[in-house]
Amino acid sequence: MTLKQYQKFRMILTIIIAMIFSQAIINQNFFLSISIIILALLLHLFIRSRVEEILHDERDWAIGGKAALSAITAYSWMGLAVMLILKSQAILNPVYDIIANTIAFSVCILMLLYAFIYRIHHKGKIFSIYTIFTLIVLVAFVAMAIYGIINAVK
Amino acid sequence: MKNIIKEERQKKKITQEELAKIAGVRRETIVFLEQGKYNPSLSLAYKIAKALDSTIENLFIFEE
Repeated sequence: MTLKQYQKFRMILTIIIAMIFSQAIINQNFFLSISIIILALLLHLFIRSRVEEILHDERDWAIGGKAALSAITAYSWMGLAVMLILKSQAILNPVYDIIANTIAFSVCILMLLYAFIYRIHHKGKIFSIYTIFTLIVLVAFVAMAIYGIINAVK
Repeated sequence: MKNIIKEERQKKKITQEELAKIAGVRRETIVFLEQGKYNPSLSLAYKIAKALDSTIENLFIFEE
């Protein structure tokens, strides 16, 4: 299979999956939504293994790294702006406060996750004092976020 | 960074596709390399130099 055929297949697969997944979620059929995601993942892996050409090279990885960092930065700033707006409007509707907290936590978790993965790549090993420390902070933050959001909803 | 990859490749009568295959990268990367829009890693520069029977010093012209 050529690279172009693979890219075409991936695009078609994504459209089909998005359509089925969204309909399954609307109908609250969670079994179908999870099944379709797993099936798509397996199908994607199978098709990718059939591609004879090079899918990604060092230039793609370099661009991907830059794009990921820019996306994280953009999301963080947007999250901060939206959070501040929602917090200021929380008097009108208390739900805004929960949404603002969820966004704030998601920004923090994203940054911590980035720091954790960055440390792994930087040090070249999973278990170093820095990665373990970042992982502990990350897990603690996720736990705090879940606990805080559940309590707020109650 | 300027380079003479295109000239050397044409001398050797190798296509961009073939060079990409030898160097283990996508054709687009060779296109960007030849246009001087991408600086390769040391290992990629070495692979390209080897594929063109040349050296890194000969292919790449460093400008301060």
